Amino acid sequence: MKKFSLFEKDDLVWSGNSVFEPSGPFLPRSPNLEMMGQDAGAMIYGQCSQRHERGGRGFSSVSFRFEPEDNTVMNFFRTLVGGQSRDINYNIAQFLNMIARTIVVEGRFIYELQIGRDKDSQKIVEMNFSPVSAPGSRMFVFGSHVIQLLPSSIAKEYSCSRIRTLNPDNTFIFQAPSRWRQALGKVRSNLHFYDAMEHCLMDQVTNSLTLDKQRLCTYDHSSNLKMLAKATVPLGWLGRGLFHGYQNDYLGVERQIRWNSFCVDLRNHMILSLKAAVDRIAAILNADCQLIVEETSEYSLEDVRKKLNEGKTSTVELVRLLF
Amino acid sequence: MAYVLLIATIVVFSFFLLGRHIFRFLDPRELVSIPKANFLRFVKLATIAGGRSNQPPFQHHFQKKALYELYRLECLIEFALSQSTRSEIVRDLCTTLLNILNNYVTDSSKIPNLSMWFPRKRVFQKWGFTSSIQTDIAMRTGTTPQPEEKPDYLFVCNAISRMVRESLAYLLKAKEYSDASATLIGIHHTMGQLGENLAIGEACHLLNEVREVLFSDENRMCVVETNDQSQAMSMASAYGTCVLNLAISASQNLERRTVDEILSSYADLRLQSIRQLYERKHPREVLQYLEEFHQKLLFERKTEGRLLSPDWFLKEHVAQRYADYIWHLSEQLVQCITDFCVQPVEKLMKANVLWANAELLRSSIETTKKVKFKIAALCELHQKLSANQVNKEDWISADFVTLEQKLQRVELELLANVANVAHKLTSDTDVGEVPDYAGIFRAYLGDAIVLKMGKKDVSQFENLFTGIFKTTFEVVNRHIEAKDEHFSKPNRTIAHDTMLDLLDLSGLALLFSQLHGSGFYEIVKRKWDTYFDAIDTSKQVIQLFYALIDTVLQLPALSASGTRRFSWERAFIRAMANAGFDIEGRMSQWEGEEKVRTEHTSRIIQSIHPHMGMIFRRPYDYFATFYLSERPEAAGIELPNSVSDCKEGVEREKRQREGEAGS
Repeated sequence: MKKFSLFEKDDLVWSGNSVFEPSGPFLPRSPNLEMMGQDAGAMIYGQCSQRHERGGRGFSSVSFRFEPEDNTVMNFFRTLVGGQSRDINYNIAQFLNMIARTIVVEGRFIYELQIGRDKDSQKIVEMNFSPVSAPGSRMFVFGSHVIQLLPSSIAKEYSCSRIRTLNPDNTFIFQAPSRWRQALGKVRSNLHFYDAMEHCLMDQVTNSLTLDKQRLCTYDHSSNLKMLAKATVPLGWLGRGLFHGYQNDYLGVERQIRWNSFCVDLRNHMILSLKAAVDRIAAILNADCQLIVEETSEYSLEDVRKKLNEGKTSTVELVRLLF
Repeated sequence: MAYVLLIATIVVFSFFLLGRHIFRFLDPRELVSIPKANFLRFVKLATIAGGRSNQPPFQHHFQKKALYELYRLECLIEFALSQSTRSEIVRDLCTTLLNILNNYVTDSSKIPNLSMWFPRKRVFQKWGFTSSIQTDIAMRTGTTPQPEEKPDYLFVCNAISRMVRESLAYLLKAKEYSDASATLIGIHHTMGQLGENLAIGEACHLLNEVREVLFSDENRMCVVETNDQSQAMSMASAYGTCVLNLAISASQNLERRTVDEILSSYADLRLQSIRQLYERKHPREVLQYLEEFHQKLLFERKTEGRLLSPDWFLKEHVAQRYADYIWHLSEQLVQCITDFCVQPVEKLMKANVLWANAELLRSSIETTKKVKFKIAALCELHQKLSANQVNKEDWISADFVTLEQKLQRVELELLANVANVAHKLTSDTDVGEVPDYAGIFRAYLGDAIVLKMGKKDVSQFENLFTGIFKTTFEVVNRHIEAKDEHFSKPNRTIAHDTMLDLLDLSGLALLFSQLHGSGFYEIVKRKWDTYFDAIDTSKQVIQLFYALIDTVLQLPALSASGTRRFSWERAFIRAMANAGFDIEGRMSQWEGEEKVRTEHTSRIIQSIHPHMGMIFRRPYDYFATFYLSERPEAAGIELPNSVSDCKEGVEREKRQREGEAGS
């Protein structure tokens, strides 16, 4: 029987499910989707890390603190989010960056809180966030209840049941807020299709060139960009400036507002899950400690959109407001 | 028999008709209508109204056919040039060519920018404007960025200009000056048409070709003037006003459009089809941008499913493009004056061409003055369009003040040439045969001198004053020596006016120098000293001037010179007002009124008491008082009443102030 947990130590008793070794077939990579995930993560990181040295004004920046301060909770939390810095903002920013990337690429990310107790004294010695994932497995989410359906090969390999029900108290679901969930799903499927198509197209062009065919396959960059722009319309991703020569400034700002709106909502939704995790840790440790989030922004995205529609502020100034 | 005779008559008559018809073929004017009609037909087909504008193969076909028709026209021109005795054919063909160009520019604005009607030419790009990939490839391979294929919008104009140039060169070489002059007048009219259609590129190209012919290194104008002075002047006049015609018609076209009318084009951008955009007459530069912008809107429509961009955004883009165009047009017009007026003038100066140069200088200065007004009107339109400015960063900063200064410098450059040439224009010419260039140029110089004094700008002042000084004394010498048989009474009046102008300017130099502490009077004084030292008849000259001042009221009160001198005095009054003096002050002798005193360190300025924007002594009175009467040659000559009155006034003011200071 194979048993593998990233956090397992022999001298501790762990509550929670095993973590499966990643193996088997993966989904084909979608470069544009990954880039979009990186961009979302980077933007959220910038908003949370309180570091504006890159010239941004810190649009909708958030800061974190614990109240009342409880070192035990804070230390366990720091272990959970995996940060090395003493600055809690920086640790959370890094964690959210990673989670945002995953949400954009995979749709959602589910963590299970694992608690390690001392064998003898039953005292909580360590806590970990372990991602609930297995290649080929399917997740069914009903509110906070999560059921995992494992592939039979993995169930056989790990000698466990195919259906696993996760403890709802210790399960934390990170995903896009409901108003964006459908849009994100649509963009993800669009980009998977677009990237697969582009990959095939490039293969065809390369083959036609190398095989010296009489009729060369051509690659129309502009129409491909048009497809990419269309595929990402619901979220407003700017394609890292790919559409720069093809779209006007107004559309650029409009998409930027849409993209910022998505990132801010995603960030806020992830923070809610993170706060629930802190509450759970505090409950387990019988401590009275909360994660307090403070958002500082002189203006909202609606203000920016209003200014854009009024036509009294330059687009350059509006873009500056968005970072 | 009668039947046979009838048939014979018909046959002979038929042969006669056929023969006449064959001879008609020898005249290219009879044949030119066929390629002209064909060419214009293909142009019409290539426009957006032709129905094939979005089909590149058809566009390319129309272009090839049009080029063939141009080739046929060129063949006809060559044939006409080979017939050395019939210059009027060349002239008429040129007129037809210019007519074709007029018709073409009217229709060409309806041909889409990317139409294959325009042949492609390879244009090398500047490093700064290439993409990073291009720059990278060029750096790695040690080459320059690869050239881009761009539409050649001037290909028809190039061909026609080349033919006109060859024809004009032929006419000048064949000494058919009246035909050459008629061709130039045709070009002058074409400039108006091109300006009306805002085809500035085409106009500049045609003018450039004409300039190359007229002012080439072979000095064709010099030859023309040697052979026929009046035709040389006629040609210079027609050529010199080409830029003016272009500027006026182009500016009027834009001024006619209201801002709302210009901005209404935004509605065409909302449509999916580009057709509506070409229905209106936009300049090519504006069309290029609007079409590109329309492509972006199509991208927006296709990706977002609808057009998000609001009206204000579209309006701003239309306004911005027109504002940029207006700015570039203004710059181009100033550049045109430099290229097509100043440069030819300099060439003629070097070649010592006199009368044609005088005419070209006159027309160039008039062009410069009028273009200044037109640019002011364009600036106003630019400001109105700028009211739609939201994205300030995207708008080109249009500095019309700098442009005006540049135009001022150009005018000054032309005036410097006037100063060098004006004195040569009074000799050996009968009054009435040619325009009074000396009189016109003296007016230009006088205005320029007063303007400089008002601005305290001493640069080039000496040159300008020397110019008017020399010109005036050409007349004065003639009057004193009485050599000129044309000096009857009316001409003597003109000579009097000329001299009074010089004395007035010298007096103004004194007054301005006293007012501002500037060095104008030093220059003027030096000039007069040099003059008096060089002549033996100083006493006579001073007597003449005194007599002139004494009899000044006998002159026509509203002569051109008298009016100009009045405006110069107004310039001095304005300068006093700018210096903080009360130019509306009351006269001191009014009882019960407080005396308004002019406070200044200069005794002369102290003695001037303006009243209701007027001064009571003329500037030449001051000059006679403080310069002429002080000269040793003036000893014993009785002063004119106004001069002695002026002297008395200054002394009285001085005594009064000294008395007040003592008490």
